[in-house]
Amino acid sequence: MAAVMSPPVTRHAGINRTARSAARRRRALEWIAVHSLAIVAAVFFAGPFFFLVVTSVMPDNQALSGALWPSHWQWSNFRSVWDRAGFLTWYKNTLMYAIPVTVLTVVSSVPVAYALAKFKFRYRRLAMIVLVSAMMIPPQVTVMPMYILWTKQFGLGGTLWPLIVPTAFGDAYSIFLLRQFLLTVPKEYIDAAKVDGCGEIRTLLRVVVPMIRPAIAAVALFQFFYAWNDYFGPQVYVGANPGNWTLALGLETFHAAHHVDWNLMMAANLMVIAPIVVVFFFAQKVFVEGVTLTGVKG
Amino acid sequence: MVTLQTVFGLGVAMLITKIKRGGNIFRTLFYLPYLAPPVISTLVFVYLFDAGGPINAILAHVGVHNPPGWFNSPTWFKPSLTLLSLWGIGNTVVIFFASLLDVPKEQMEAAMLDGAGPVKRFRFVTLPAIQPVILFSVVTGVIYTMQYYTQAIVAGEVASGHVATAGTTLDIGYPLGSSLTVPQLISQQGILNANTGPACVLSILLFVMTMLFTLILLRRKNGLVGGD
Repeated sequence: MAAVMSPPVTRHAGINRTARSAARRRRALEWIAVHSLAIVAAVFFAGPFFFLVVTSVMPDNQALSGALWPSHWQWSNFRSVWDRAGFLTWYKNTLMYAIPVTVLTVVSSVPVAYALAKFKFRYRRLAMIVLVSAMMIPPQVTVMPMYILWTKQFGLGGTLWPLIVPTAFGDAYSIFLLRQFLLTVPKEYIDAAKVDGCGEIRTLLRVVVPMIRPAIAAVALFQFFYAWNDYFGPQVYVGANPGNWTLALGLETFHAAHHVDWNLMMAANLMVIAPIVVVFFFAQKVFVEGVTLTGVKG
Repeated sequence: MVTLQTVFGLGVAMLITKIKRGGNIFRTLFYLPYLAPPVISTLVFVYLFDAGGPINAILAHVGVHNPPGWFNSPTWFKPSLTLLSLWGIGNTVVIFFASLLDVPKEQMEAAMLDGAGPVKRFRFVTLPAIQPVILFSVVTGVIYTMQYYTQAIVAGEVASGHVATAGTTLDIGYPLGSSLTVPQLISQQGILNANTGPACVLSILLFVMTMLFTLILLRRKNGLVGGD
């Protein structure tokens, strides 16, 4: 009996084994495919950074040769950039632009977002439509009237004020992001605060603001980086006034008429990018949540 | 460019969902280029693709001895810029990644039990689930591409070697107008040449085009303005 019974059993086990090993082989192949693709993508994303770092420490004559590795590490490049006329001024100007913009945007956008998310009023839908449209309008569309207003009417051409002052009146993207986050705050908290005798402003400052801290952090970081990276705005208003240049404008000057100090330019780039990388490593979660909030739930 | 961005962004996002170990490092890696100031990423790319730059050196090693002129050639300027825009895709990837995680697991399992292969599962489960996100990223992609300014002007200036002072290009649209974008024309005409009229006409044109695409977003039923 046992002898008769055994063949089907072994055959069955055999099929099972081949099926399982086929599945395992397929999974292994998939693993290899996914990871080799990932490596290719990683090289694509990391490559430019690699060359940025490597070139920034190359000696002058080597940077023009397309060399892939420095013959010796010339750390003095960073010193040369730092000592270069203007670099410190650009750094200072960039901070003088980015910090007020960040503070003003947060202070002005939070109340607007709160109103749009939690108050019921006529034309609220219309207000949202206007907000989203404002978010989408390219800065170049409004630049002409703004430019004429600021330079001809207020005589502030050549300064960074035309870029700083408007942020005291809210920033569409920041308002939108904050509002999306505020929608997730339960109304009960606000009602409870009101019952306890808080006015609107106290409710906002004492109850709502602490709850939306992650969104505020995201908005602040986005705004700071926006100002730090901005090229178009400073170019329009202070392009003709090198004393008020920001880093984004100054970087291009490492390019002389007929030759480029690529190594110095890369060293300067690295010094501009470094603060961003450092902040990003500490605040990675804030970023990812902020981006997701506007894209997915939108 | 937008098509490539969307497809590439989705591809990278799906790749990340598959990786279990080291996924965090990978995510940081692809998001960083997005944060890099556009001026810097452009400068780095112009350097990489410079006639005597590393890319051509690598190409020479593998046997390509007459590489294209990249940022100095009217034909290759735009492809080079597209490559640059693919590098800074981090934002799109994060959005896609988050939406891929939201694809309902039950539907996926049901499709698997019904014997749907990976391609069919992607087509009939994943795509419909993330469709609104794709729409969002395509529309914003188109709008951002219409305001393409910094990358184009910096690449044109540096590659041409004509940076007198930042902002006054001698050779706008270098090479041969292939880097000229509408926003550049606006600032060139309106601010440098004080031709306010034409610049305003161009602004209105840009505005109308932007609004047309914004309307697509606004018309969505569960649109951006909804929610309570």
